[in-house]
Amino acid sequence: MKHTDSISSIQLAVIIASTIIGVSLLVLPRFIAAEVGEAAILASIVGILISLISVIAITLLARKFREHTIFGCNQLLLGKYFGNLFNYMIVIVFIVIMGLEVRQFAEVLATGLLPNTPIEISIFIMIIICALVGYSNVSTFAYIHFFYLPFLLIPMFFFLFALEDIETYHLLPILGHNLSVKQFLSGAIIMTQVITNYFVIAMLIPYIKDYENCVKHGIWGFFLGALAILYCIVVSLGVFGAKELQEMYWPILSLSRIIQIPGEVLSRIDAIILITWIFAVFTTLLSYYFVIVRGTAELFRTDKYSFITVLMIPVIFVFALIPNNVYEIYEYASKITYVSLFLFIILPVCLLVIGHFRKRTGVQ
Amino acid sequence: MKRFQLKFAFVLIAVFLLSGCWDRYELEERANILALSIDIAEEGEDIEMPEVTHSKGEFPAEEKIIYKVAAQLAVPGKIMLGPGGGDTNSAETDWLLVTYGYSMKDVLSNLQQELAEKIYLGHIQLIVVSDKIAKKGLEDIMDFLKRDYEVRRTAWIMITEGEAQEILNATPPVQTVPSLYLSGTLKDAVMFGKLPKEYLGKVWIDFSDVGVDAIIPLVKPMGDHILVDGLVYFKDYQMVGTLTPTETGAILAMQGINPAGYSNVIVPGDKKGVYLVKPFKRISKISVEIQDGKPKVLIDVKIEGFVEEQLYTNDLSKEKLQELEKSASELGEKALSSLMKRLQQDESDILGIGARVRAFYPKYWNENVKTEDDWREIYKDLDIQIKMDYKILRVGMEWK
Repeated sequence: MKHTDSISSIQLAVIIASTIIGVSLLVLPRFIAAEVGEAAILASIVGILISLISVIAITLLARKFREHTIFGCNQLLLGKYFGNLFNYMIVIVFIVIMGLEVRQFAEVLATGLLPNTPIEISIFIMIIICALVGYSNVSTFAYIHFFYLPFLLIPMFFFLFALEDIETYHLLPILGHNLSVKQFLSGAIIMTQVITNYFVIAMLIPYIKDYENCVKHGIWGFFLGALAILYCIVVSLGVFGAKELQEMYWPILSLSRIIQIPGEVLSRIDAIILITWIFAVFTTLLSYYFVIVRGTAELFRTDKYSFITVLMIPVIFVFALIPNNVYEIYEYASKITYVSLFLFIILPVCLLVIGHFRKRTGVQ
Repeated sequence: MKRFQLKFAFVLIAVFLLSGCWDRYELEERANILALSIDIAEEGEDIEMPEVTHSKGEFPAEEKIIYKVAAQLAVPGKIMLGPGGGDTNSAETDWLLVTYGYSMKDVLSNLQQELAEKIYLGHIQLIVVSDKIAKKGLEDIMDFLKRDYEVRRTAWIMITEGEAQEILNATPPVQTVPSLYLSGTLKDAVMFGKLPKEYLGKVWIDFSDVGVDAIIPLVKPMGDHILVDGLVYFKDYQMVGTLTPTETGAILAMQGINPAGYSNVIVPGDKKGVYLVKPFKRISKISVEIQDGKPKVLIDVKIEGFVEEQLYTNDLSKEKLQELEKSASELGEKALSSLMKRLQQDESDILGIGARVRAFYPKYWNENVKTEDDWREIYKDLDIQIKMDYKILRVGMEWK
């Protein structure tokens, strides 16, 4: 299959980074601190390393099977029926995740920015904006990510003004208090769950121009996104401490509310951080929508992308409205991510191993 | 077809250009609360509570406290910005409303019932709490402030002995908005090293932290302005004592916060003359060690200062300066030790020694301490050594 539009491996890296920085940025420090307390930093690093497996697996897969997306690989390596089962799972998981993330986004807006706007409106508009992109052109998709990445990263420098409020005793002990290995790992898994959402790159495999560099650049992009998140965790833990973090709902939002810029150029920067975060949500949801649309198209062997895009709007909308309250959103989200962790990490690794043996025995 | 395209383009442009905001909420529709004072209503006061959040006498509290809250509202349109603002009297720009209620939200609901505009807390500058509430515990009033998304974490909270409303009655002649002046007083006090940076957000963090107790600025009404009268220290959510400005300076020195705001009166060893010395640089190290299964604390304070005033004598020299340094260090050590003794007696760990033990010796903490209450027991008889090294570098424009 020949494609007229293509993306470079640098664009691939940017897509990974801007997908990682997403909805959960605001709430993540709270969840990790609630699980492992002061060990949040170490747990996050372990979580990042677990997630790294997925980047390496997918990019290696990309180098090996240049003509196929992950859907194609599934069919090729696992057989048609078994492979398609996984393909359906991927699409469903992404629909659910996207619904939940849109809902989280709308909840934050309703609590912190637009109290009178019905969340249905916020949800609907966000889905519409994502749908408007149209997923028929891959390079447009890559350019949008490329354009927004600076808007995600630059405002994070504001957190540097909070460095003076960091207390050493909030960050220590690095191993936490009385943590069992199991607790520590469950904290690490939270981090993995949140940042392993760049599965969209597995849908981009046939479009990559320079396959030689895609592993290297993929890892760079991954670290760019993951370290930005780690940085937010370190600052919020250092400023608030594990106990206060557990008491608040959106620590990064609260963090942006205590930052005072010297010279009083801006008296409140929480609006800027919220806007940044809306960009972050948009780019993340864009990647999810891409997987949903392109995945469905590939399942049904069609290229009517716009039709599928429109068809998916009400589906995602319904999933977004299922949870009854803020606690339920996060309950569902953590449940679904256990399925997604299997699909995003274990599945690519398995495919890689199977592909390796198949090549050796000459069955292709 | 062409007509249709044109129509469609028109609709599209209109959608993008004429879009509005669902949460449009104009300035003059808001009742901007700039300051709140929270008191406990005295018996015999003329308390009038409308039935807004509950029917009469049906508030399910364990111990019914009636809060008396005075809210300072900015009158829209009256506040002049820029240099022209000096003409308006502060009495014209703000409006003090007093309401009663059983909780913070209850009070504000009652207040809302009396107001045409919607209450907006986003510009709140300060919250003054009377010491009676602080002694009962601040937990109950904090939940609303934390939960409400409009309240800024950078607002100031202060405590006053007596009636908190008195503070809001202060109408300084120099500025049009009194609460801005009052919060400015505290902000400048922090800048000049007279107060630690303890705004609302920081106080919340201290309340939550294990092994750290909070401090909140103490103020006193002085007619048309206020006096920063030191600090209030807490044990958990309860106020247990106050610190004078000198003691506040000592706490700041132990925290190693620069610049220093308070001068020290020092009598040299030979009892000749009195000197006022001002520190300008302070370095403090609070180190904790575990010796024989018990924590041992060493607070090492290094101060560099300069002579500001010499009284009753005129013999400043190199030798005299050394003598001065020696007696300053001794005096400082003695003052800090007795201050720490008092804090230990009141079980208030405002320097965060417990948090340091917890951070650096997690094994000791998890085996011997476990909870904050256990820590208070240990803190009471903790061995705290204080070492002070006072250096005087300059003497001002006079040689002698």
